[in-house]
Amino acid sequence: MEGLRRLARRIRMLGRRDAVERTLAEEIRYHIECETDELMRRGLPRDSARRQAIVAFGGIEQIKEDVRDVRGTRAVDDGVTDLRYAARVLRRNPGFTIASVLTFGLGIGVATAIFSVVYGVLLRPLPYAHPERLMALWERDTSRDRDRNVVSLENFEAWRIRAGSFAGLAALMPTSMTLTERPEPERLVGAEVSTGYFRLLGVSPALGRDFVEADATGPLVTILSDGLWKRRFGGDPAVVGRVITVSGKPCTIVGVMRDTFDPPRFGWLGSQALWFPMVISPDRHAWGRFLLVVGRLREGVAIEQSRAELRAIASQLETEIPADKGWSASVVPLKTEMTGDARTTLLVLLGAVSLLLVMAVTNVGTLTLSAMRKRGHELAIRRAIGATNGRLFRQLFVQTRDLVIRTDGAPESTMPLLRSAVAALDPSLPLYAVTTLPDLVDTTLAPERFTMYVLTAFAMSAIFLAAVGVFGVLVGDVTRRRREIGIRLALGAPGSRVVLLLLRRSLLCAAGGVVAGIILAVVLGGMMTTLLFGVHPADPVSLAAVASLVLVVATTATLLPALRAIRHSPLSALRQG
Amino acid sequence: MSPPKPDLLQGTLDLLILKALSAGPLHGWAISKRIQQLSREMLTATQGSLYPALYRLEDRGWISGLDAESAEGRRIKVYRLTALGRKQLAEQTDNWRAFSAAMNHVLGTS
Repeated sequence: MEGLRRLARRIRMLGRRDAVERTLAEEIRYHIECETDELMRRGLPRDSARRQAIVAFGGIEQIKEDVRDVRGTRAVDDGVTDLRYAARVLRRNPGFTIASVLTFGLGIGVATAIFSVVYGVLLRPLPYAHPERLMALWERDTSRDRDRNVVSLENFEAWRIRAGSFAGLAALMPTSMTLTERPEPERLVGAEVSTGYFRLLGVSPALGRDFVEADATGPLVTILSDGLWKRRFGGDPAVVGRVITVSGKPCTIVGVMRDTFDPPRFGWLGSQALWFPMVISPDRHAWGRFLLVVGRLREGVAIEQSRAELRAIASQLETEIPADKGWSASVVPLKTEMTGDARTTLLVLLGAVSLLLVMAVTNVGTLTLSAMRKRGHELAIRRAIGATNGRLFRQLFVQTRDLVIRTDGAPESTMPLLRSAVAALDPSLPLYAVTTLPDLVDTTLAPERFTMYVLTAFAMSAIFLAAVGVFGVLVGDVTRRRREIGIRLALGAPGSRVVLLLLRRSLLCAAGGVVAGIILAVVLGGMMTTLLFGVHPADPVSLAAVASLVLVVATTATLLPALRAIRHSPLSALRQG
Repeated sequence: MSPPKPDLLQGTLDLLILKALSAGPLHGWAISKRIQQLSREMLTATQGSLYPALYRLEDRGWISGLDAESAEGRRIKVYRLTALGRKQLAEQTDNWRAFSAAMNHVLGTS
């Protein structure tokens, strides 16, 4: 509290810095006048009184500094000075400035993009009421140690009655049906949900009503998603109560969900266009395991407690139901369930982008050091090379898997033909999800490919950063040693030998970095293979390509300034040095 | 030459300033005079430390500076003890008494 107040005061002070400075100067002046008057009263002449007052006061500027320290504005003042200095340096070295800006821009841009994706997918809570208490419940096949098996209707009903750690359980299963409406029939994917499912998530329809108990046994009803409502029914608010034909049966629309409702997708649940009440017919009890189960923990119940309870119930059921022999149960947070697959990928990307950012920072740091000529050359080179061989490299030339599937004719042109052919057979038969084979493969592999493209982009950026870093450092280094070159030439060393000497030094450092990088790439690559599709660790072509790139950059960066140096007369080099 | 004066102990300047202001608002120079006067010319707040101390105390909220006019009609800054400062004064006075009693005891003076 006190700290906050002080901070607020300081911020106010900053705003009025000039005013405060004036006040302080005024205060000091007044102080000295008072002291002078006092001394004059004691009989000193004006001049010496004033001199003595000033001497007694001490170093005025020092006191002002001390006061600034106390007020905390000094750091800001110093910061402004530093910035001004930095701006001056940057203006004088446009090449360095451009390299740094590019490096930082690239690093920060990519990092921000990935961090926001990570936030959106991993960190942002699910869009339901108290999402942290929502769990996915699974059966556990103890004999095969598979802990995420779908649930039988019988067990779901038993859990629902017996599990006290849950405020509610709901079951759902994907279902597909044909919507026979004008202008043409359409195949849709939706879900059957048990009564209370939407209430369990804490969502309600925008139009109409939620499912009620009687819907499960009464005439067929449905709740539409906002997307389907807008696409097929033109967003007509009078749609509630309308009877549509679903897979040949009449079905009444009782509600429309909100556009903000994003249904949980886990297990085999994909996107859902509409929902039906779950039919609990006797024959379904014989279906075996087919349900996805969502539960909401009671307030204050820890997930471990619910696990223990559910396991206890499952072992009771083992004795009651013959088919449950060897089956237990598991509880997983819904969030984990929904992001499980994306999690690894995103964490890999996050790791990669963090490395990239570290490289960017290291690079600019190294360039700065080189520009300021304050540091020894080995350290700088080692840093730049260390960054060079970031583990992303390996992916640079990873060959994307060649998809050897051919398409004949554009899909757009074949669609009408297909449609009329199908309509001739049976007009109520919908033509759905028409896609070319390559497209289908593409979609299936989409996440992996995306990851790979992003990583390739990272690797490119990393190479670029490394090249800039190595180049900047080596050019600066050789330039700095012009004096030494001059001396060697003056002492009679042939130019070629001097160049070779410089080249050997640079390449030795670069080679050290390359070797370290290759080792890292092989080790980490092995780990990555299990995570990512299409990545081959120790791909010799990529490694060789990256290694030669680094060496070429190092050679160029040494040769350019070295050749320039020996072309001049040794004397001028000496003088310049 | 005046007799040697004891150096101010670290932290005592704050207490002296608070005490000097306890009788009413004063400006910077008057505070230093008041400290001299109260200590019978034994203690002098070196000017160099006075102003930083004033700003420090103001920053802590123990005293607050306000604009005022001098007898000659000049705008000057005077300092006033805040409620927080008054509490600090009482607290630090007690501390000081305890401390000096202990020191006297150790040094064997009465």
